[in-house]
Amino acid sequence: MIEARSVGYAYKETVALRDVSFRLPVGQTLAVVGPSGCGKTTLLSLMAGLAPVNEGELLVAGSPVQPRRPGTALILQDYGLLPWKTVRENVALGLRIRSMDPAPADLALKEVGIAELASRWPHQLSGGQRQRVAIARSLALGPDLLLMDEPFSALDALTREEMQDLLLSIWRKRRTSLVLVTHSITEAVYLGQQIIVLSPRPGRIVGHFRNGSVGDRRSPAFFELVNEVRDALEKGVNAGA
Amino acid sequence: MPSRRWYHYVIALAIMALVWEGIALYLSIPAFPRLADAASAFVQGVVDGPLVKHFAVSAYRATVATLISLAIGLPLGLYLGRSGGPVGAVLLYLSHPIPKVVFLPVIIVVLGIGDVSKIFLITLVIFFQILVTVKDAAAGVPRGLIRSVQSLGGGEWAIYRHVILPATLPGIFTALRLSTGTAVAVLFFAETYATQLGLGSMVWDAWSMRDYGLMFAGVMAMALMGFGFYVLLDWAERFFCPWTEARR
Repeated sequence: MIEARSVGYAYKETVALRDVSFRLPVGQTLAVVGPSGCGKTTLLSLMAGLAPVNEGELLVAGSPVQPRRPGTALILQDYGLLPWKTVRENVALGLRIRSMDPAPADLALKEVGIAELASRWPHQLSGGQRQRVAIARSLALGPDLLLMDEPFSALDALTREEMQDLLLSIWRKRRTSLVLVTHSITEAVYLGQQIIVLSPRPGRIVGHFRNGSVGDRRSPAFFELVNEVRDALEKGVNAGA
Repeated sequence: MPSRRWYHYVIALAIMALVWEGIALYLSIPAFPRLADAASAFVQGVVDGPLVKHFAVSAYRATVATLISLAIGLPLGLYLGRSGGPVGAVLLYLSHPIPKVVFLPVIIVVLGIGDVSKIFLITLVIFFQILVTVKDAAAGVPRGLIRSVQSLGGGEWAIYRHVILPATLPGIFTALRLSTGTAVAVLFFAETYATQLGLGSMVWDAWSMRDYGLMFAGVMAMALMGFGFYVLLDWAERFFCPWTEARR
């Protein structure tokens, strides 16, 4: 689904990313972990086509990444819900912008379990409910690639795990390719079939792991991988310092 | 905001009436009539018709001026706030503080002494208020919301339609509310020359004829007009910005 060959990105004098390569097969998940300011979000923006790749090659579905690819859905860190639109209007917004039938919006609301909140305003929702709206908004477009930027960082621990489970069940049902940027190691290991560890700016890959058992947060294998990822992360931070 | 009930209005009106009577009794001059005299002149003016006619003319001038200001100031402000360059900003910075009413002689020379020049003068004043407010509101729209619409595949039009415009709407209503007072004040000034119509001219006429009851009836009518615009704007904001209503 995504192939990155020595991707780099520099804005003005700042080099944000350097020599990032990986391959994400269709229908699989990838988690990107790294310290703050390591260029995780930049990498996601590149995949979404919101910023131009200025080094290396980044292919999405076989062709160089381009802005506004219909199958790509990006979920932003702060959810990006418009305060002046109801939950239903927010979820239908992508369809409306693309002049498509708004019917999938209601299905998406049902899929994330908030059909009864459809006529509420965003400020009347809890953090977890807003996150669900943001996910529903992306799902309504029927994407084949879902990009998520720190999606659950603002949620309390239990809501966070609930949302991770929801995401996993949606992924199992839809088999959407999924890229998730996070600073939580456990989240990365819980959700990522591949896990990429980035160093502080400029972000380079300092660890690349494969994970046979997503959706598991209790087994020894889970904790072992968490420790390995943590080691890679610390090594990357110390090497940069 | 605490919810307002009918008796809050009664209490507020009673306070205003008390202050009026207090001043009238203290001054006790013909130029400041008792409330009852002004009120009866007001009723008389409504029944006989002149007050209604003058009110209609004034309201027409203020409304047309507001609509023109909005029709030009809103799109221009949205554009300047979203993609305006430094030249536009400096131009606005330099032209906004200029007192527009001093252009009255120029306006009369160019546009004559009829309704057009009066409406133009009011427009000139409140246009800038609306433009500046809309521009600042449009410039202050959170970037995250713009990115959000972009990430859904929205182009520049969708950003204006779904982010910039709704984000600035409450600010636009605030600007309009502030403009209401200004519009009525400029109206009063604009109706001092070359017209027999409008509340302003009526007040000046009544004054020169020492008909103080009628003069105050005109003052009350102008106040009423300002209040009418206020109520209308409140109603419109509730209709156009339902999400702010739910927050109260």
